[in-house]
Amino acid sequence: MIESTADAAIQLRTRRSWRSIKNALMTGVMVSGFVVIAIPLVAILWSVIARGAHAAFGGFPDFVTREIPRVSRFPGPGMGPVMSDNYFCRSTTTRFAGSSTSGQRR
Amino acid sequence: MSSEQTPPTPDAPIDLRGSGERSDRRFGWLALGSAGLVLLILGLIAITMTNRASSVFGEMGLDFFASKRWSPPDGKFGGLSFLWGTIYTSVIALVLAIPISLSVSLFITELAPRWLKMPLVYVLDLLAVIPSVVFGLWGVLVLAKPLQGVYMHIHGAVDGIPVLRSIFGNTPQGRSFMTAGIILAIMITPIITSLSREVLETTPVSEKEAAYALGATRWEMIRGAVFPHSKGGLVGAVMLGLGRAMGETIAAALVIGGSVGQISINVFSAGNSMPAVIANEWGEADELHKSGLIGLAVVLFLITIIVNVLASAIVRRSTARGRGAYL
Repeated sequence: MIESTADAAIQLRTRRSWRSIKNALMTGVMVSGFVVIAIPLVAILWSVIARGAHAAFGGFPDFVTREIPRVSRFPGPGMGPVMSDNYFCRSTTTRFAGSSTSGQRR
Repeated sequence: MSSEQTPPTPDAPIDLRGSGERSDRRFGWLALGSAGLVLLILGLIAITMTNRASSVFGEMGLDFFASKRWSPPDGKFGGLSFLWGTIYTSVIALVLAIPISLSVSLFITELAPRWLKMPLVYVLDLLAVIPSVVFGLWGVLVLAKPLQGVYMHIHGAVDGIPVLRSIFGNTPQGRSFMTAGIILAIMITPIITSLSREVLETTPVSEKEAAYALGATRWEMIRGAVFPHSKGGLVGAVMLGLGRAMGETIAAALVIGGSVGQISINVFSAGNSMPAVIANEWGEADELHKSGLIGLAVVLFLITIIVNVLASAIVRRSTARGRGAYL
């Protein structure tokens, strides 16, 4: 004779065991890894903007167009030559490296 | 409507040669020339640098590698402390970066939903493109001072423990091996993460599903199916990160402290590394001093080449295995 199984319901929930705890811990570590890596990124962006935005955008566009002050005791603006040289050097390097790399991949 | 087409004549072979073949051959030579040019430049750099460093190698002999006395006014150029600083900061960076990088790459490949993956990769790429001088300035201006207080607390906490009190020693400096290691760790984390992610994604889905079918949890699946499959590639990724950490110049120069002749396991003491000392002293160096700095560059060049070649070989081997070719 089959008895009523209402009381003996199958437990579908996973039981707490060392394996499941370890799994949850390692999942937490993976998620927290991303949080840890985001902290310096946000901190650097915040520092750069907070300390540099005033100088760069306070007298815009002088900062990117004017000459560098010849007497260093005079405060800016004027980083034009530095910026243009920087972009020129980097674009040339990228151009050379890009053509060289595409040649290798072929 | 009639359509009269000439049937193909089997006797008239199609001419496959011509300008296409010629331009293919020309392109092949161009590609070979480009690759050869890279090797030629590398060889010329090595020859020129070794040549210019020969005077200090001749003057100092093996003391250049074995002595820690670096005194340009006395003509003494022992680079051991800089070699120590380079390796020590790189090891600190790796110790900090490896767990974080692996966690992030596992998070992206195994945990993150599809819609979240791309934004996460963008964030990592953003971290990778920040110039090293920005990291260095941030380290000096923002990080160094608060870290000094943290170092004091750590030293106070481990003061009674024999080995740890030497590693986390007294008189902590804001600009130190540890700060340099932290900055380098932040810099190499995106490299290790993106390479690890590529390697982890080569794990066959069937192996993962087999692990799940046997009742494994996610972590057990990662340990049993993903890690064994990707071990070589992960080692290669770490070694490429190590190569970057060892060669980093300006960030290390700004935060390492600039102390000469320091060979100490105290992570909180100031030190120096090979790229940093080259950047700091080049402007005021005379002939033999310059030769000594170039000698350091030669040592660094050799170390980074060895690390990178090993890393590339390991990654290539691992990638080939991932595709099913057993080497």
